[in-house]
Amino acid sequence: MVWVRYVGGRLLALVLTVLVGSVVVFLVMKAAPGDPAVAALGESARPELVAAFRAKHNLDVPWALQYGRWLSGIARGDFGLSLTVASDRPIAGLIAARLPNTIFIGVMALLIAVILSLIAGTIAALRRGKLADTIATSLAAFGISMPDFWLSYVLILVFALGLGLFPAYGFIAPAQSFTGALYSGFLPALAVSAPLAAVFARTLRTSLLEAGNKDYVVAARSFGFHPAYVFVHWIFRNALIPYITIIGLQIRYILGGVVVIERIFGISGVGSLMVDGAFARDYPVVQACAVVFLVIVLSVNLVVDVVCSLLDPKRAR
Amino acid sequence: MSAEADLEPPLLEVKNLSARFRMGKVDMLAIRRVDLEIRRREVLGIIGESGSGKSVTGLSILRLLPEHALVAADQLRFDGQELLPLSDEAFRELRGTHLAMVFQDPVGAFNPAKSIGWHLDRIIARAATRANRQGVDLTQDANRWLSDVGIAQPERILPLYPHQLSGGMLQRTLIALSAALQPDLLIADEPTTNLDNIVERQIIGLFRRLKDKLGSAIIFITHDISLAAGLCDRIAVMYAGEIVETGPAETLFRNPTHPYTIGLIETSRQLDERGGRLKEIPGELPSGSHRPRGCLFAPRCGFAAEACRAAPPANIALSPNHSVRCVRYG
Amino acid sequence: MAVLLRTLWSNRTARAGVIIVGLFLLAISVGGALMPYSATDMDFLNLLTPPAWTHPFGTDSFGRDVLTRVLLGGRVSLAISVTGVSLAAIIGIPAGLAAAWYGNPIDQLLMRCADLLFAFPSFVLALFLMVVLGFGVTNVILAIALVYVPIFARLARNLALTVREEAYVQAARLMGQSTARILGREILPNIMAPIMVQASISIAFGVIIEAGLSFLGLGVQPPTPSLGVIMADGREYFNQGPWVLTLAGLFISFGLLGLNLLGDGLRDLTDPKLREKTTS
Repeated sequence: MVWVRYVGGRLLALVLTVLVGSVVVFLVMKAAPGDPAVAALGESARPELVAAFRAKHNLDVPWALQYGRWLSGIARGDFGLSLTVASDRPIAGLIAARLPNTIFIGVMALLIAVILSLIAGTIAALRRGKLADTIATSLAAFGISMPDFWLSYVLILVFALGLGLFPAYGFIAPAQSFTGALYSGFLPALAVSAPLAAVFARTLRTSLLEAGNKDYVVAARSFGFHPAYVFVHWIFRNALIPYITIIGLQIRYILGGVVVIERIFGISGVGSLMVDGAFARDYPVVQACAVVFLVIVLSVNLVVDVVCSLLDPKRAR
Repeated sequence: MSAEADLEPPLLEVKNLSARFRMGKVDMLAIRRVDLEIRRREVLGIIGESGSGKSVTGLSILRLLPEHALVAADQLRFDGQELLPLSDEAFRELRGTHLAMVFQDPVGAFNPAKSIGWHLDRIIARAATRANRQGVDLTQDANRWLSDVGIAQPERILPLYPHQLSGGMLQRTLIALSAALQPDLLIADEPTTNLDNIVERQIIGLFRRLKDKLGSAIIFITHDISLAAGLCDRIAVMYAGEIVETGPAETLFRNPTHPYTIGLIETSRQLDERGGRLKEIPGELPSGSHRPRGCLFAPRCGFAAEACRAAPPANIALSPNHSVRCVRYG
Repeated sequence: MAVLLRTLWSNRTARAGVIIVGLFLLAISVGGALMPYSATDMDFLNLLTPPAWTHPFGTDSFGRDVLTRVLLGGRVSLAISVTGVSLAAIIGIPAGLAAAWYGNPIDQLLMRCADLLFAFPSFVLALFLMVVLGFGVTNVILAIALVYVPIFARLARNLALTVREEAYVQAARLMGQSTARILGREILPNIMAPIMVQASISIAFGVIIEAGLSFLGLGVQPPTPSLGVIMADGREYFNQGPWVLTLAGLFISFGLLGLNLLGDGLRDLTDPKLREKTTS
């Protein structure tokens, strides 16, 4: 029962945040300079065409009503029509076609980062102060200093143009071929994951060292448990909570990175849709993408919080 | 202690034990010249104020000090076996089976992510690894130790997590778990600090049973001299990392010889009589890096003379089992 | 300043950071003047020449010396990031202090606003703002500021909450000092160290945000040579002249590495828990 209340409360908070966020997004977009009709049809468009355009895109009513219609549309899965990026096509369809690609790359990047950081962070903590630690921490410092879009070009240069191991451009949607998506998504995911892996590995190293210094580790050793057993159940188990927390906090960077990477590798995703919308001043598209990203970040944070409260007996319950 | 028990070789024999911590470029000396002896069915009390090196002594015997600590000894013999040359793996096998420790801070001793029952299961599994315990119902045994410390229905606390129990409750659980290991030697570091008088008496009772029934030896570390007087057979008084006086508990309380022991006993008597604030021995413990050249206690000692400040005093045997580190008896 | 440098020197990580940041600053401040070219000199006989002694970073499609442009671009990018982060600190820190000092409802309100900003991917937030404000240097600065305002606000609030109950703050309060004076004279200096750590890391990420936005063509517009603009340029002819983009990016990574090491070292020095570990 306590559980239902906890998750329910968090879900309610998520919905409220999305509502407030949508108001902010809507108002800020309204404050943007320029008339969308002029942007779409040009300066010299005939007045009746402009009027028809405004009516179709729900721009001829007061702001409050525009917002109300937009929000009730979203609730039904309707984000309105695109102005310029894909003239008059429903945005919901555009997003639905692209979202799986974005999520695929994001999840793949996250998995690569988790695997790399688990290895590097654990080795660094176990061999603290030794050569392996210095190498791992230096690599981590380099990792967070590399802009991910630059790293993608380095990866393209080495692995695609140089060694010819991976495609330099293009992405096979996971719906078409899952293995194709894994193959063509590897370089972009790797580029996004490098700085993340660095941040995760540093966090893991610090929390492992911190947990290793705790009295309960000495107590566990006093009972004569095997060092590997102590490491897994006492040190690693307790370091896991801050590690997973930081993963949740970094979701926003993953998505931010994906936006740029999608453009570079020609991946048709929500990020590249948003950039296209930004160039074409397609306000409804930008607005919709912003809300989608908001919902993703909040949902992931919710999941991470629930996982943490399962792992940490001191939290929630 | 009877004369025939004296013939039995000591379970633990420590000669000239020292421990130092590397702090950057300087070494901090934590304990030195520590000699101890303890037999089966014996409780040895180590008393002294906080920071005197009592806990470090216990931890260095069990090889539990952090990596930057250097432990050395002329002899560290347990049950006829030298401990220092043992590999870490061989030493680990002794812990939890033959050697065990109860920690001062019970809250920190438990894995915060795991329930009490989880701890209990692991410890029973550990206790079962000792060869002569096959076929013994260790769970029932553990439950009996728990009820011995006043936890009547252990199954109620098993699903709980450490943070859901009080410090006193955790301390009792920890002591019962250590007892469940049935170690030959139990080192108890201030085990009753968080407990009220009634529980304290239960714990003392548990230690007595451990010693009488299983023949365990117990090193009881405390700053509470009257508690030590009630439980211990022999007492070692520690000051600034050295043992300044050792002897049978009775002799030591009736005829304390070292000025520090005298001071400690007077302080505790005042506490008992007036119940108010105790008159502490004036002055402070010397720090690990700045130690007086001569007797460590000289700066605080009412009897200090020239000879005391010149050179460290030798250990002087007053009787076969009573010795003191003070020039006044030389 | 001398004391600060000496303290930084005592930590290996911070020392490396100071050296790299120093070299980076030296390069972008005087390096451009030492180069025999200007950032806009075009040499049509040497289009897209690979790195060589005369052109260490090669030339671009207009025959311009890439190193000269990168040095100048580094100056532009760093200036944009520092301005954006400073703006974020100027807005965020007082907001955080106010939240900590006055408590609810101001605290709740400000922190919920910060939560909301936190819920957007930082790059999406910047992108969004660029759409509304239009592209250009000023708007990149504002976008960076928007990303970092909630971070500084939350950090300042959490730090101030721990310091607020300290004896010296309470004493100043009882002596009837004004709130502004207590916040500015008693609290702020005592929470400055972690804020500096955050600032140095934020400046590094601010450079990445600038470069990313400009790289997509949404940020600084050519001909102003920010690092992002140079890299976007290099992207056009990446197949013929990969050195333009790669070396410009390497230069950014070098500067950012210095800032990150500096931040790490500062953190080691100011976090008492970690300091204890380094001595043992």
